[in-house]
Amino acid sequence: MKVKKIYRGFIINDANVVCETVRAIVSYLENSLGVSSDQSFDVKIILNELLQNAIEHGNLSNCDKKVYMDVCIRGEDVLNITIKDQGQGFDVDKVLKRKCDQTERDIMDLPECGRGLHIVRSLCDDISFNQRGNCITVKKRLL
Amino acid sequence: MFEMTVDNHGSSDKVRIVLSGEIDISTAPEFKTGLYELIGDGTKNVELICDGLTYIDSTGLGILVGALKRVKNHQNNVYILRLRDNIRKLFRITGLDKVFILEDAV
Repeated sequence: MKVKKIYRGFIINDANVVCETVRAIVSYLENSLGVSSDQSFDVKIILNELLQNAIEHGNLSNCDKKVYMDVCIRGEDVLNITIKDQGQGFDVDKVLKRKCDQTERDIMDLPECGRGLHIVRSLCDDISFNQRGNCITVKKRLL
Repeated sequence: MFEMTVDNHGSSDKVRIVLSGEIDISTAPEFKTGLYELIGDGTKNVELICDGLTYIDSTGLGILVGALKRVKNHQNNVYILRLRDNIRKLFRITGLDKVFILEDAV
């Protein structure tokens, strides 16, 4: 299967570096591969949410730790994103089963965080984790 | 690039804020500080004009939830106006379209 490498390497725990890296990837997808702006918006959300989770919840914002990211296109149009942090991992089942139905809550009880993974699941075609829970792979078909 | 400006047109019963650019993890701290400063304790309704807002992620949405709680404490509300379709989609995915008042026109 043809694999087109887009990004492979480590990213430091820095918000500006994360945003610049994501912008560069999205720009490449749009300008060199002709990905639509709607699709690239979704990819941007997915990358930012996953990297932010890895940095804050995985690496606990420890500046000495890094996040590994691999972004490629497999076959004709399937974008593969793998992100691995250096943290202890998390209980995948527990997080994925968490409800995100805001209507059943009192507004004052609404959480101010914890929506990132739910958004990613909604925007991608497939999502999987390693057993430890510190490595996530997301697939998204680019039409 | 992110900008936030107040556009009250002399109105004293609401805070009208124009958002433009991107609210991501690098601009979220500036957005949070500026927004919470503008709405204060939440004693007025808040209108967010969003046709220039091109990106917001879960961090930004969380900041909006925090703002909503402040104004709800005083029986006020947050009105979000002129959202772009791809951002409106995020409100729908998270269920926040049922929590905030989303309107197309001012």
